[in-house]
Amino acid sequence: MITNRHLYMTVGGLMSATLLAVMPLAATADGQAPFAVEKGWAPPVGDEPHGRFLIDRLEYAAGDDEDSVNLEFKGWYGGDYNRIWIEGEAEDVVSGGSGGAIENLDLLYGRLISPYWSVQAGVGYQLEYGPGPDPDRGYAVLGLQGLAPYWFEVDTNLRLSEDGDAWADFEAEYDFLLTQRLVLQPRFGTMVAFDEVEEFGVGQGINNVKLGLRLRYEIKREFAPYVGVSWNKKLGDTADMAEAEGEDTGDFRVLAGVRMWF
Amino acid sequence: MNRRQTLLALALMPLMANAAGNHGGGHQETTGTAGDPAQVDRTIEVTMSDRMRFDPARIDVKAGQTIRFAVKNTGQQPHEMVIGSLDKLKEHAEKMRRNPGMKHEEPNMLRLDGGETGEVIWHFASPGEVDFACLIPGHLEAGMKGTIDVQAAP
Amino acid sequence: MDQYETLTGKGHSRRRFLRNVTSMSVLAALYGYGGVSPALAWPQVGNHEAERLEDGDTDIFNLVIDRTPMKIDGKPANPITVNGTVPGPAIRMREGRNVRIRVQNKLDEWTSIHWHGILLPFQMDGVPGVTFEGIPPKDTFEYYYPLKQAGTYWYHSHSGLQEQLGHYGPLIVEPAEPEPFDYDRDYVIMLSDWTFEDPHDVFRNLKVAEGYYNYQKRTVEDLLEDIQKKGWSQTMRERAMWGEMRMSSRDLLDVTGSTYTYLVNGRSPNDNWTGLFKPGEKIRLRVINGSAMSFFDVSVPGLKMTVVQVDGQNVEPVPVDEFRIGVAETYDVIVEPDDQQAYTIFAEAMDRSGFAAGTLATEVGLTAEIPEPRSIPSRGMEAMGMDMSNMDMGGMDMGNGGMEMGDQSGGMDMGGQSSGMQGDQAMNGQTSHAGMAMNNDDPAKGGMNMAMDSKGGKAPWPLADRDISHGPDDHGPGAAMVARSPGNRLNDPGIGLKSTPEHKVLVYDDLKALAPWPDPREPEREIELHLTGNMERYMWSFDGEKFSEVDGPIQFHHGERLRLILVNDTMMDHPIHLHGMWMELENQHGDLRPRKHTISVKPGEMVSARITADAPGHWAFHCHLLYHMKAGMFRVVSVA
Repeated sequence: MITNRHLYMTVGGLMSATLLAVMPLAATADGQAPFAVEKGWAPPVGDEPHGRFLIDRLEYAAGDDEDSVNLEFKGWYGGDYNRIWIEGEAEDVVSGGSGGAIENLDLLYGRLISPYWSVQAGVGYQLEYGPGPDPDRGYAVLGLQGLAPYWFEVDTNLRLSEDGDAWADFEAEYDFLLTQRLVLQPRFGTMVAFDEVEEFGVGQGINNVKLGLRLRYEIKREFAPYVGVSWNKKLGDTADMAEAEGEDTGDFRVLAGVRMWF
Repeated sequence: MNRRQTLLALALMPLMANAAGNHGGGHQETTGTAGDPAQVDRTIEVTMSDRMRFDPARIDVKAGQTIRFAVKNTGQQPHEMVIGSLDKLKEHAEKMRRNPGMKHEEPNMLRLDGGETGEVIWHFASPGEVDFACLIPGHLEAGMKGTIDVQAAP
Repeated sequence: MDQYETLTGKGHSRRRFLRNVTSMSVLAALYGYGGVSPALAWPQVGNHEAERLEDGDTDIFNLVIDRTPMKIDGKPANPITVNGTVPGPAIRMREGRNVRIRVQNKLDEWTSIHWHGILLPFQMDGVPGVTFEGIPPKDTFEYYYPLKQAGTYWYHSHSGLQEQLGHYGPLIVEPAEPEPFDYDRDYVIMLSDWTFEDPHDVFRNLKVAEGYYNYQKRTVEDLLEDIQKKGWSQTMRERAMWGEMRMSSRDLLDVTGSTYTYLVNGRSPNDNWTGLFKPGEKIRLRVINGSAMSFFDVSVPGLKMTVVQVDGQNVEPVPVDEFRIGVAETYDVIVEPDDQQAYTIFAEAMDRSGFAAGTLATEVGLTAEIPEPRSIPSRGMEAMGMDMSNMDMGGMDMGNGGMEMGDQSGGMDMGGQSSGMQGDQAMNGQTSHAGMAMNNDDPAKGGMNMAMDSKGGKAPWPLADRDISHGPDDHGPGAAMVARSPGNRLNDPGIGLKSTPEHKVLVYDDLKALAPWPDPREPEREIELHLTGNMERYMWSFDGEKFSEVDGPIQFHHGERLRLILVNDTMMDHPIHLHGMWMELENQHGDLRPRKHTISVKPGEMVSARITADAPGHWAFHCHLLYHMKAGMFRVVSVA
């Protein structure tokens, strides 16, 4: 198992490396005149890398049975075309039960392929912990992220685990500006698995639909507390598996949290 | 204004004087009236240029004189020489600004394209200060004006 | 009274040439910036002058670049100053003489001074990495060049983001010959935008968070208002068009009044810069936009302004009520207040998120009313560069201006709408909207039949028949959109402005040179450049390629006559600046083209300029929005 994971990590790494090799590296030529280059002058305008770490959701989610603290973040560093991304989503049950999950922790290379879209490729890790066994797995990711027409933020990924299981997820969100600082954000997510993976409670086919609605107030662009609701519904085989475990297939929560970036 | 136009102006003088009155707002008493080419007492040469200036910008005449202003536009832009009181001239300039393309043709004025020459004949009846200016939008504002000092006849 | 006059600026008197610069510096030192009333808190920066020393045929100036703590809008700031002030002192050079400018850099970083709009040997142009290496920290540099022109210009740092930090000032070249206008008093009105943020943070915010400074985005409220005004179906249709393009009709300025304090001669509206006059005097206002990112709409409510120079070049005087000044442009206007009262010099940011203001008054302390802020304009379809003549106008009532895409109250101009149709005739928006008629297949080409008349008639637009070709890749990921049918907008005062007989707003088509320029040749070669950008990642470029992506400079052949064609494929206005050579803007005046160093290009617009490549060397060519330049909208032009 360990070797397998290493294998997949290596494959993912190789994929990233290949993509990195394809992209034009830090340009040796730019718009400077040869005259100025010969003199060794720094170019008049540079092309410095930037970065941002966004905590999209850090929230307390109160449900009927259990409460949890949820976290979702996206960080990137790089230039306009090529960026390294670190993305993650986690949940920790704080009352009414115990355990939690790192749903995904991805290290990705992303490249801008059109004005609004970038492809991402890399490796990731998933872990479930709590009562009983703590299954984990590594996987390779290929993703597409960007802004769809009508300003929908879209993030979709195809993942292939070290054991050869494949699944895809899709997430879209939209910002309604009620005022310049008060933003209502509906969110939609779903996951489709191509293989059943029992230890993660994943059935074949559509696993779930996640809906969220958050109302945030941007005190600053960088800091916005919010309240909201979420509803996750397990579907198909996944729902059956959950029912067999004695779990609810629907999960409604009231949320309070903060969105911030640095 | 060429000779024929001048003659025409002369023929229509009573009518034109009235028109001038409308334009200048009845300031004939102080600024004078269209002059009779046969009665010219003196000719004064005036140049107008793209420097937005008249040369000379200050002219001395005597009350009762009829003056032929021989005007030359040494610039490339069209220019005008319009005789009147400054207030009325400004009023008229504003009217022109609001109605681009407005044509006006009166005995108290002359419009010349670059390089052209022409004349205005004007009779100064009573002493006082009479102004003249170019009323093409912007020109008066830029300083294209002059003063005629009408001195009392001895 | 004398002190008051000095402190509030009595303007540069043409009749008293000698001014006591030294006593002014002493006063500045005495008053400092605390303890006295705001109106007198700082000498009239912008109207104080650098000391001019003479040495034979050369005028000598000494400038010191430093950080100087001071208060801006009453709050502590630490700007980069030239000789201790923001803006730096006005430098009065003289046409026909040489200047030697000794610049001492007291900063801990490299700096430079670029003489904006001055034709000079390229080694003296002051662009680090292009014409010299820059001025190292704690070092000096000596500029030396002859003055072969006159007019109002400015100078500023070309290093990093120093311009945003106060490193700029007025540059006046006194003419050898009398100017074609008359005035009694002379004031510099230098507009700028100040932020208390570190400009590098501003740039980062733009880079990592699209729309960071825009607090005027469309909200649900705007949507409901639109539905009420225009009905459900049209509102949805319009929203869909913007939505499909993922563009915002409220994307007017990248950096706004949410962080900027707008300044007149270094003073905020609270610190009310005041220039004194006596009734009946003609006052020359040398309006310079020394902003990093802000277009302003300038007016002096109650007074007509007569535009007499643009970018330092004489134009046939145009009386106007308002004009828009792009970043780095200069407009010299004459105003003539003839009564005993105060007037506000009002410069409203193009997006209406703030304003700069000062006062003209007969005595210190008088103020006039500040105009009410106008509503926020929204961009219309013309900004997308759409050729509306091919669109089904079904439910869109063009005749009534039903196509206006935002706040109708904001005064979206029909001239702009018509330009989307390439409507040359329709461009005369003030007189008639007849050209708006949709049955006119191609008004632009119809308008071509007009006779060429350099004496003020309407010359044909050289780009009327031009097909703009976009490659299959549409400039790549660096360009979020392309203008499919960019048009003539030279008679369009721009977004949020409307020119009427009662309120005349200057347009580029009003600008007319007094005489043809020396080079009568027709262009031998055309260079077409597209202004491109991607807001999401704050990438700005020419032809989709940032400075870091192109290989070498744009080549001009020494001595050739060129037509430079600029096509704006973005939703923003871009002030495009060419160093070292004039751009003769091809507008309706044929041979009497106005000559400019900076041309503002509106969204969806296509403009052209003639250039005589008579200045050998290497020159910067860029968008003068500071952060656009920094993001890559920059090229080097090599003339050889």
